[in-house]
Amino acid sequence: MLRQALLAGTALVTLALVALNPSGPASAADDVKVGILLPLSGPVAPIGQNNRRGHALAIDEINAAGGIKALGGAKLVMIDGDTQGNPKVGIQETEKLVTQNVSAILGAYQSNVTFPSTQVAEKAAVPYIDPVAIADTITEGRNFKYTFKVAPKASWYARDQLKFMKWVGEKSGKPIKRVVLMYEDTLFGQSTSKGQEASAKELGMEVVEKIAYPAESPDMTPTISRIKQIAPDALVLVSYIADAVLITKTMKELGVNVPIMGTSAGHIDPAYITNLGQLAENSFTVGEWNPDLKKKGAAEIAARFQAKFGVPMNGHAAETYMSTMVLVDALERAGSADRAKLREALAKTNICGDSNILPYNCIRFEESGQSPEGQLVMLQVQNGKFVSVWPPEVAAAAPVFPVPAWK
Amino acid sequence: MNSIVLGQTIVSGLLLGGIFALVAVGLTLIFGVMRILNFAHGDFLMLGMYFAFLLSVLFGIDPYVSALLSLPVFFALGWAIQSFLIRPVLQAPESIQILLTVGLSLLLQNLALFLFSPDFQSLRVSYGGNTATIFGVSVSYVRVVASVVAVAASAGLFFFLRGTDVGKALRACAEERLGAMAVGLNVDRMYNVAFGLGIACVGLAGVLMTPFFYIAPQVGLPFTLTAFVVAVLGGLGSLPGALIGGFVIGLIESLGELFMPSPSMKQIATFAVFLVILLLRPQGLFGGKLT
Repeated sequence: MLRQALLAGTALVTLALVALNPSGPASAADDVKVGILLPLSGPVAPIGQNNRRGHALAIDEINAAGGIKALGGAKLVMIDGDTQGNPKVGIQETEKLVTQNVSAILGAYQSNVTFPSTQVAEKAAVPYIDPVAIADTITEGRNFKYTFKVAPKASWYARDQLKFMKWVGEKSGKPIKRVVLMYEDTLFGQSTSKGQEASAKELGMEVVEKIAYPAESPDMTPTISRIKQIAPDALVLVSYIADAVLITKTMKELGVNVPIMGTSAGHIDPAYITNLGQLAENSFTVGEWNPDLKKKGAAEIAARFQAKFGVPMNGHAAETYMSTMVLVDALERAGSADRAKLREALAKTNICGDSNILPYNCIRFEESGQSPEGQLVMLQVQNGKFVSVWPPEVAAAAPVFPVPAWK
Repeated sequence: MNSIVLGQTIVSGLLLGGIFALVAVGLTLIFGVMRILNFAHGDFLMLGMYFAFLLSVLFGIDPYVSALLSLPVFFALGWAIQSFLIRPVLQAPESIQILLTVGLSLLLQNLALFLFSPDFQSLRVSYGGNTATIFGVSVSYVRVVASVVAVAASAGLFFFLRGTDVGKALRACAEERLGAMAVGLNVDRMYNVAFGLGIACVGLAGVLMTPFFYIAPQVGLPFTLTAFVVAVLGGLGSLPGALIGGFVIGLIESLGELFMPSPSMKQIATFAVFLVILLLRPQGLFGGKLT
């Protein structure tokens, strides 16, 4: 009885509110549904769950600040689609999100899931924002109208890593000319090292040796000993965490004083520092983002993230956070949650300066849907922390280079 | 190729070989006495690593003290596992025994995942990175200690089996189970001892590795495989075979890393040599007797 009365009362109040709000088609009751497509279970679930935190933080903050103003304060509602890290499941979950009337889909972390699910969204004419998945093919040669890729291209990791090496070498008067590429021997390492080789050639560096190694090796001494003999100006590594740790330890044991240029993955894992301690000092890695970037707001957002979830905000989370803000910005400009109108607004995105916490000036989208200014950062372990050291426009500190010899 | 790189490779192969040997000695002892293939062997290596790690993090105990402590602890663990889990399947078909040890392996890995999280850990000791340089070849102290202790432990086990009554009883059980029972040996008890000793060996190897290796729940898997290769190469059930086999495989892995077109092909070298030896000597280098 009481419950019925309450329900009836609520309904009346809602009706009254709608009647009192003549300003537009949207009412406070019309939530905007946002599809979040991520691997929330399965082997890569920890990464999927962490990526989701970036979306959740952005949505909670927007809702707490009064929702989407152009839609009369409409709240954003997350609708989860769990890909399980599997492209087939990803396609099914995308179809499900489409029928659940989401205004847009954000996802899906893995390139092999993002590629087919953007296809589904394109067919259904649902805007799809890709914050993290990097494969070049997601935006290249497809002429998709509804895919918007905030994530940098995979090939830019190598481009920016090698650009940094050239820059830091020339700046310090100790140019990097001869490099050794060393990579774990699965698809990840092999494809990444190909990009690095091409970038090195483009920038006039000589790749003196390419070494593929098995990631689960109990010992790497012979290989590191060979690198000591070759004595390159830099060692470019594509490693997972276990091999990254083992290689650095062995380099110290053999006294190999060659700067380490890691490629995200193992070298950006917080475990790299906790496992190596002092030995991690001065290692470089390419990364998507760092809380210390010279972008107003970046540090505060990272602090709020840490307070809310109890873990530090990483590059993926910054990208999912920022991509959610791209959607919010488009909703405000479109003044509508309609998919077609939203798509038009997304295409005109131009979020610049401090409003964009990613390490470049403006987020906008080319015809292909790619954010063209996309840029990676270089981090260096300094005093037990990852510190951004490049590009100089946004980096928090200067790189320590040449790297001091092992003590 | 200069001589320093070659020297470094040979030294690292020998140092690695000592660890391989100790892991394989435990495996071959268990097989020699009980005819049980312990597919969870590498997972006890992992437990040994976490044992040293936890003692160090919680109580600040140095890993070399943990190495001493690990012997009774892992002996008792092996004893308990044999008497509660393995004994019921001793007379069962081989496939059942294999299922049991593979299941044990999965159990231990997932238990470690649950208790210690999937994160990689390293035990950081102040002397961990110290090295001596001899003719240009860097030799890590902690690796030398690990290898020397491993060989000493294997040798100790060898003389224990040769010289003591318990050792002789173990060998009797290995050679003729029914005969051993007939002369009044407590075979069940001897099996507990054998499994306990085997697990103590691999646990010790794990502890000795912590100053220079990383720790993770799946870290034991490749070592299980290598231990089988070493033990079969030396002759399953032969202690000297496992010891020599450990050094042979350690050296081949190291040299393979250097001389194969790419380090990722080093296992091809290992298994090629393995196949050739088995073709020429199917019973392994030291064929089938426990000592």
